[in-house]
Amino acid sequence: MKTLEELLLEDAQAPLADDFFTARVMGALPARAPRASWWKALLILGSTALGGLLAALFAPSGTSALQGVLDLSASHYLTPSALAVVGTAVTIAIAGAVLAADE
Amino acid sequence: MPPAASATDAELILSVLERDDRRAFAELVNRHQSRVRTVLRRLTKGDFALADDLAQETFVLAWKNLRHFRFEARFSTWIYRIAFNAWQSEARKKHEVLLDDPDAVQIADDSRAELPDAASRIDLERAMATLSDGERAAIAACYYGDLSHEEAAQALGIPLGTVKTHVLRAKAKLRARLTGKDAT
Repeated sequence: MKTLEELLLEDAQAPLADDFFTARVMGALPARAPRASWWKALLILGSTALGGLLAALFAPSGTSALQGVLDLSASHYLTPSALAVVGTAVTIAIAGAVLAADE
Repeated sequence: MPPAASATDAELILSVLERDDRRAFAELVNRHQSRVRTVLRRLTKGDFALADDLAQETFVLAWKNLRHFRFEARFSTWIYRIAFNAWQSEARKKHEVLLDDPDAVQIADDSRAELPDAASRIDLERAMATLSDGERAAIAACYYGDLSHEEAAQALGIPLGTVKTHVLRAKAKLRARLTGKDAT
């Protein structure tokens, strides 16, 4: 005589032969997508930084990265140079976040 | 080098994540296939072919999403959740699965009372097939999946109270079936 609890546990614990099931699953696995590597991160962040730098260098007179940093340190946030520096920093941060999410 | 049989699930998962180690994943599949397939066989009312298709889908999804596995939970809990989702998706294609609306009726838990000598696992399998989807899912999660009521609620996506009610009701029905006291 056994209880329902015992019968349920007996049924649940009865081992099921593999019968090539594992091989079937392994055969159905897709190939892993190639993982992002360090050079990919360097390429994205580097090109973003270079783009920001070039944009700052070739911007109309009065806008330079150095001037932007000086403006920010003097609490002048709305000058063209300060906005260019902030924009570049935000762009690099977004590129970094995209890379982190990809990983 | 093949993964050691003594390696924990967490160690095998790390091997898969860090080295793309397929043999480690094969060991995980081999380790959990019996319970996952049994759970799905009970959920699909004994449709072994469908259960194995769903089990395969479950492990393939686990492989694809392994990087989202949180190590604070047991791998078995996580894989059962995927299996239940696969079963619910399949069941929805055929009919609506109602997991969360049991009647609010008090049911006595007399599952520790003894069954007739003749009651077998085959009788149990047949009796399981007569349960509602929700009742069968709750029993499959708590007994076959070895989940706590809380883990079952999480895996099935239904409230804890509903799981408890489903389990009590299912056990009452199973007992009635197995003792021949079922009127239906």
